[in-house]
Amino acid sequence: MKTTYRLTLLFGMLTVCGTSQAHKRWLLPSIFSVSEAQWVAVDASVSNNLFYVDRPWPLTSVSVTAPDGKPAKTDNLNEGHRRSSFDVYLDQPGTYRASTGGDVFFVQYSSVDGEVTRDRAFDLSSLKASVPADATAVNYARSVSRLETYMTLGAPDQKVFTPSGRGLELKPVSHPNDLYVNEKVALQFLVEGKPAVGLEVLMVWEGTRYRDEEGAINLLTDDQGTITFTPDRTGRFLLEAGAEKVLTEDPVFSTLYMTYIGTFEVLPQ
Amino acid sequence: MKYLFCLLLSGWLQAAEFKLEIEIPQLQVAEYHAPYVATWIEDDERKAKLATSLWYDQQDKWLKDIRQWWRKTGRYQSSPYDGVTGATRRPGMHRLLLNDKTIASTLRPGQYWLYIEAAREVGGREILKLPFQWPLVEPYQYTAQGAHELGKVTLIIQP
Repeated sequence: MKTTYRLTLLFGMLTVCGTSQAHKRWLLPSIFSVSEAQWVAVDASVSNNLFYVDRPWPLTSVSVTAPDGKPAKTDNLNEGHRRSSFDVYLDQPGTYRASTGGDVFFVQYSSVDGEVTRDRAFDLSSLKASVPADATAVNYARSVSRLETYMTLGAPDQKVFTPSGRGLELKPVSHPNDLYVNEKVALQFLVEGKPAVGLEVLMVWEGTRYRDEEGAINLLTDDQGTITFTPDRTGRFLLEAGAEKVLTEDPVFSTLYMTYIGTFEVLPQ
Repeated sequence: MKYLFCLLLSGWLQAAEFKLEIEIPQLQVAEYHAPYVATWIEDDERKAKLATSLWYDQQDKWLKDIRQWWRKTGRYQSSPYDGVTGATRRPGMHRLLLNDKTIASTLRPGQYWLYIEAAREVGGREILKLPFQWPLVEPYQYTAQGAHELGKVTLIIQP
């Protein structure tokens, strides 16, 4: 059977999920590239302005992968009032990936009085338990989301980018910790392990607080699932993309939503 | 015949003298740290061929701030770093003798650039590039003028 993906803007998906589209989720390390083993602090927040903390992002599913593929040492996981944060120890040469997200489950149903309810949970059984027995038009969906950023000690490497085949993933051509102004950047996206052709990727530079427009840039992946662009400025930016897949044969879920959000940095030459 | 061979060989191996005269400017700033200074050689296609020197104070933590040097060569190394290494230098004129033998044995004939980059803690960063041809027959000299972190920098090659 032919699998069909609908590649959509994240915004579209979030609307389905009932979240305000203005909110951005992001991870931001205190430093992206280091020349000595050290602790790096990472903020995890949800905010309208990049990168100004506003609300904490839950750290229940945070994981940091070291260059050798094993979990990196983390410390001080803290969910504050305006942000979450944690520390990561970089002591292996190569690239680390910090990731939060994981799976979220959604339900939509109609009550007896005709009112439509939408809900979500990190745990499917509790979500199922919340649905009244007399509800109709019950529709479950699942999401695999990746909220990521990358940090490198010494020379960057590609080991943490080995695709898992789940959801929407980044497979860099240009290394995220090796981006420089006025140099072409190429980043490949995979949807369930295959090139995400025709995927819309939204790019937003930091500092939205200090300008009138968000200035989001729409990038479209080519037939290899790759976006290419040449940054004309330095600084940090966020990439967001979303895809959905209609599940025709799944016993529980009607739709699989996949999102990717990543924080990157462009350095001066 | 044997004599001639030895003569040729010694001529080939006899390296040129690579010398840099580096001016580190005096700056009127509240907090002054002597800059980290690195040099390296790139070919005409911006490929780093050789790291030639590094002045730093033994703290790897700040090496990434010598941004281009770090990207081109530093991050692929670990202490002891390639080239002539030493402590940071105070403002003034400094003479730096590069390792001529390593340069001579690494470079094939062509057009090259000697890059010099200075990065100062709580200060700025500056990069200059000085062109040269290799090999050289005549003595060669090229001067570049820095604007803030570097003063006058002169490359002197004595074949």
